[in-house]
Amino acid sequence: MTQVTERASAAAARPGVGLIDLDVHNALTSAAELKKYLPSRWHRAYDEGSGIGSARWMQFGAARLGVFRGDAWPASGPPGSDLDLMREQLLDRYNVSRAVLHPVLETMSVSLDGDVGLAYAAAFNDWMADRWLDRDPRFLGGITVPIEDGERAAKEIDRVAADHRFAKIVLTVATREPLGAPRYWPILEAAERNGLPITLHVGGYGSATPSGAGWASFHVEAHTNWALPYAAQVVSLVASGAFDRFPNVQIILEEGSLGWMPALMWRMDRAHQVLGDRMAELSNVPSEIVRKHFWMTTQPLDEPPVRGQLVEMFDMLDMSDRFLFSSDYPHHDFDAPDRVLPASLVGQEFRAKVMGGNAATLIARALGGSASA
Amino acid sequence: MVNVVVGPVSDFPLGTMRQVTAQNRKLAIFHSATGFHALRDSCPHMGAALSGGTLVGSVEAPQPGCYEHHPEQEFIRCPWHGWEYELATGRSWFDPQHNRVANYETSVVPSGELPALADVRSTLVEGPFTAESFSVFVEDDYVVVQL
Amino acid sequence: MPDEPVRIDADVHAPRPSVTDLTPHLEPHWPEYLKWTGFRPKAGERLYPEWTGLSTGTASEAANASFRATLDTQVFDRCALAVVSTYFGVESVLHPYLAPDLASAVNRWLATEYLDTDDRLRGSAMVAPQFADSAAAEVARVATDSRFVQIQVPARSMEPYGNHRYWDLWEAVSSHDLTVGITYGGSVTIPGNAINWMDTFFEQYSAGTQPFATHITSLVLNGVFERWPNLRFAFVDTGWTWLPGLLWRLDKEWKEGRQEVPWVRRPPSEYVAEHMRFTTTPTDAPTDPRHLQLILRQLPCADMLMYSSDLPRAGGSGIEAITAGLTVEEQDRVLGGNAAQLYRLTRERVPS
Ligand code: FES
Repeated sequence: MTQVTERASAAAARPGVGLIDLDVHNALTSAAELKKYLPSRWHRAYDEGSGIGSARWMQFGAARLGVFRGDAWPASGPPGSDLDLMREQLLDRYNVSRAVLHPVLETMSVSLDGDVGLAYAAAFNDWMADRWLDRDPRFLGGITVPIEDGERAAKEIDRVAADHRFAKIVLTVATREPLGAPRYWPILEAAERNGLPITLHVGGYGSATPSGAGWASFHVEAHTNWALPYAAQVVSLVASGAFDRFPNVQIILEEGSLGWMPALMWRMDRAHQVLGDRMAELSNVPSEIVRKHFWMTTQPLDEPPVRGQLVEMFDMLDMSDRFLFSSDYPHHDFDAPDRVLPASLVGQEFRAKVMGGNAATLIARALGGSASA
Repeated sequence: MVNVVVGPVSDFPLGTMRQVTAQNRKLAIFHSATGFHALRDSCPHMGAALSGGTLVGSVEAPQPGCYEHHPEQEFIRCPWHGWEYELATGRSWFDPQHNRVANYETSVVPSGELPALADVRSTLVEGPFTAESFSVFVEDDYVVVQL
Repeated sequence: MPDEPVRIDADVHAPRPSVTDLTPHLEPHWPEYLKWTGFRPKAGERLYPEWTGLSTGTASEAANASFRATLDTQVFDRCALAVVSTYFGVESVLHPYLAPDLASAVNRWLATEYLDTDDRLRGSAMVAPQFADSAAAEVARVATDSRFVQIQVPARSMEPYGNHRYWDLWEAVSSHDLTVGITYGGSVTIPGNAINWMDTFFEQYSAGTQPFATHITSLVLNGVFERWPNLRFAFVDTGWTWLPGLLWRLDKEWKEGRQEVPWVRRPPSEYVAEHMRFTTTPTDAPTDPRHLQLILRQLPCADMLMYSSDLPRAGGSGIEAITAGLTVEEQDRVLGGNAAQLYRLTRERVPS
């Protein structure tokens, strides 16, 4: 197996842009760290763990390596909580120019309704700015919102978006209803109003069953099924006409893998053609709506038996301006920027776009913001 | 062929998994229940240091639910994506023919025999452990890796 | 013509029987109960609403006659055999005695109405998999009729098919060396996608491959093919161009997490290549025909596909686009050889 080292080209992905990593997870050093940012009104609920953690994650005794890279544990605290180690293992090692952070494991609980969900989300966002964005200009933030509560989520987006170092709004992909449902419109609207993309990330605990047919027996089985909710959300968003209502909304499919997308496009186009005027009018054929409104991060990068098949897939997708490199540091399925998508396989131009160029377009506002900060 | 002295045995107690650099190569040295093993300390998948992985026995199952655990068949499980490499051979579990990590022969040599090793087999060179210091511990045995 | 390659249509749909059609095939206590409860197989009507153009229609003398006529002109003009199924939505019936008995009645009806009247038809027998013990008994019953070659279960099931709740059923299928056909649609208890109920038929249909993907992952990782090496699955009416993408991910996950399922001793795609086949209609095809040929080559082996007309729906359109890039030998396998092997349709069982 030949592996071409691409570190030099990763660094020089595009002059002035550098390597941009769309999916990095920071973490609280300890649960207590959040209380500084949380009104005391909620400390008791927080201490007692009300709403923290999700029953969904309890279905398997353990995920592989507790979902973390085995070498990402700092001297104290969980992986992702130590800024120096993150610099050493990610930013400095791979010469990452921007890393977009989000504490996804901790914030799964923010799908709680009501004021408590909003208070938790706001605390995480303030913690993000204070403990991370202020300490290294290479960091950008993902905005935590109370996912199932559209109005409060919109309010929090408006508040936080004033800080241009926040580059995306984070929703877990497994929402309670498909994302085309009206309850989520305030989030789409706020995203559009603030010029921020919405990311769908693995996780969440709202759905009926996290597969097309019931519950998995094993973690390896459930982990494979995580591609499915992404496809379902694409279908729902396309069919709902959400993009007619909010024509500038951009959605990032983050950590959903890629291999399922070509056939989904073809299937939606065929169904659209067959059903004709029996369905709501769409502004375009479904595959074109996908190419106008969706972005896909690369991790966990598909590993076809013949490496060239990856290039065939990119060809079929025909959206080379919309792939974004992501590492998922410090999680166990981390993709190393010097190993995935070598120029020898995908071409220098394509690699440059994916490693930074495309992201620079998508999060231009945040890049400007952090450069001037 | 080069014999590299990586250090006195006492520096590698049972259970040790450690990276050493020798001849500009990063090696993962393991002292497991079956002895000393040396692998190139870079996973062929994406380059993680295998010395930071997890040492496990082999788990097989002829049928669903019929687990057979063989602790003596030692594998190092990569700290990133969990690919498994056999300590004794460097071969991966899932594709032993094509996916493997370089594996080096190791031996434990009393200090008095080190010069002979240099004569007979090949060159003996300083590893991470320097020539001066091994002359100090004349009583000790040394871990030698053949590169 | 011993050397003539056999042509088989792996999926035609007979009109759906009504409760009245089934009455002669039911135990005597059921018709009264069905009448009293106003029972109607709603799931069947909802799965392919008439207006979608995907409906298979309800049985009547006229509908049956017209279906037979279409078989002659659109199936048996090119094929020697066809695998016929019908639909009744038994998986949505939660009554533990009614559901299996309805399935059995449907199978008796299919045999009387179609298998008895046309020896070129082979039957797909439905079972109610939510009650695996009764389903296993129905398998044993239909296995005595060698015209039944397939046991049919719905894609939208209560649990993924590798789950232990179905193992009695697979034991029975394996011991009678039959094939399982997983078909589009299914239980009203399950949204059929990984989020939740969708509003429109477009959404339901577009996400309709998700249960199939779930079953592939589940069957392989639960070790079903290690347990029953002769067990075979047909994936009917779900398309196939999504398969390579799924297998890339599944193989990758296996390399990373295989110690959790050590009975899976080889890459999952190998089990899929050996134990699963897909019907050609529908094909969710790319606009660029070159891409279709690339996807074909991305399948885990050259024998993954079985020709199907999906009659009375799409009429098998598009098969030429698939076969265009295949060798003659590969074409023969897609057009019949693969189905013959999967369904164990040896030459003696092919009418001349
Ligand atoms: S880097 Fe070792 S398994 Fe991926």
